[in-house]
Amino acid sequence: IVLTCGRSLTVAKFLLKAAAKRKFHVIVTECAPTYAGHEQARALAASPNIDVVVIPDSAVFAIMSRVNKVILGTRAVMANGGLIAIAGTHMVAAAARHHATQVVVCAGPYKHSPWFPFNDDRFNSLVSPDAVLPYREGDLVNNVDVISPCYDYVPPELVDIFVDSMGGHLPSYLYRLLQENYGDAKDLAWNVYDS
Amino acid sequence: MTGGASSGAFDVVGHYNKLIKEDASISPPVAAVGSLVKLIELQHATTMLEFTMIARSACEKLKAATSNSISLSAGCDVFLQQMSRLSHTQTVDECRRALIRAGTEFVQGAGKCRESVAEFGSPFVRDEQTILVHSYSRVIMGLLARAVKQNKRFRVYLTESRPDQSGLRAAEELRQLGVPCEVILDAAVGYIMEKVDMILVGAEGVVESGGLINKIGTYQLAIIAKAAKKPFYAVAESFKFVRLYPLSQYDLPTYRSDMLSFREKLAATVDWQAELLESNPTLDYTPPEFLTLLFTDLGVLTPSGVSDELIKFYLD
Repeated sequence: IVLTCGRSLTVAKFLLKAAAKRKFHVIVTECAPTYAGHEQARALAASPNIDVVVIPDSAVFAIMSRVNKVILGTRAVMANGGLIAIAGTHMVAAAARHHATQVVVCAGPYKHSPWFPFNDDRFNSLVSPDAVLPYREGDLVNNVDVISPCYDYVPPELVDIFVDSMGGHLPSYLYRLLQENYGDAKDLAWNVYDS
Repeated sequence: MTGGASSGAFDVVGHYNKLIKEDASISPPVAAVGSLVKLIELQHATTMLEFTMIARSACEKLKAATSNSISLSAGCDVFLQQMSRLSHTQTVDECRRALIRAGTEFVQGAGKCRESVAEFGSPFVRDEQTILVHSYSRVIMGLLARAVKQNKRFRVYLTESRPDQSGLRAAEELRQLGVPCEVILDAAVGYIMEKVDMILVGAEGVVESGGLINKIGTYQLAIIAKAAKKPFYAVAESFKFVRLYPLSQYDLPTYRSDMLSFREKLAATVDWQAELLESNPTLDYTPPEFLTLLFTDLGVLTPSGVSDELIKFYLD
């Protein structure tokens, strides 16, 4: 039984390829308020070998004891091995760590960033909270601050292995891949760090 | 003329002490390389072997004079490595000239090294942060000064850092920069840890495993930081990377078997304070699993990246 979070084309391709030779279950978290998980479920259901289940984000901890493996996609991989992934991913990774379940991250080398996550806010963006609390609810909207962050930062300790087109790597090996792709730190324009 | 006779004329340890006294901001490895460069300028070896032997014996003298200071050993190793690299292709004279040039560049570049470290490390200092700093480190002072120049507002807790109380010196320097500081007891680190956003320590040496050799107290600081899930950053110039692989606290070159060894105290009265100062260690080893990141002039590194940098330097 595999668990995945939200919508990721890489993970969808990964699982569909795996489904060519074996049957398995996939649990997809729906990832409110965008509900991208529903898209993912639809894509995975195309294969007759995959049994798809969609769960709300709040059920992740409850369901994790039955999960054998967690396969995640991500928006970006930071230089220390941390992830910038869709909101909800950190919860999934933390639940997996709690249950000693393996976390596999599928990300192509183009997603590797040479930056370190020195600032939690710099790498996140807030999207419209209308999906969380509609503007229709006028009185409530006046009195309540609603925040809807787009991304989560997942620390590298929660990830077990990165899989990309070159194979599998440990998070501690990422510096090497970055060196091969980007060259020395001194060559990069580090002044972009200062905000 | 033997190598011993010519190097006896120039007192390498004396010159080293002079450099340290002249410039308060110079660090031991840089002063060591400076003295070795002076030695190279003054001696007249005629063969590569003699040349190498003179340099090596000078390094041994420096190490012995400073009771095996780790950072000084690292500086000497950098010098010897440079020498062996240059020795293969050139005559003694050419090698000597190239070595003097390289050594002088190194000494002059050391200040810039600290600036690079500050440049890489200062983005990690953000507004409204509380930082915990252990002991006095020139590199950390440089980094925080740069953050102040970038108009960042932050507060610093400094450990007193016994027995030399170097934390007090650091506190005064930061106060002059306008940073709010508090000096805390070394024993109060666990108490204060929840209020801290990150920890910054300097380094005497960075070892092959990515671990840290630093002022005593760093190891327990790292353990508490890990337990409290706070980021623990070490700040070090690249010439402090040493080819050591300690497996325990007692594997350091500075270890003496008479440290804290329950010697018999037979005198009528015992001065415990003096006993403490004499038999306690000044350095400890922090394993790499406690470090989050290292800020160096080669960039920001994860502990696993250190051995790669060492290999690149020593096997080129």
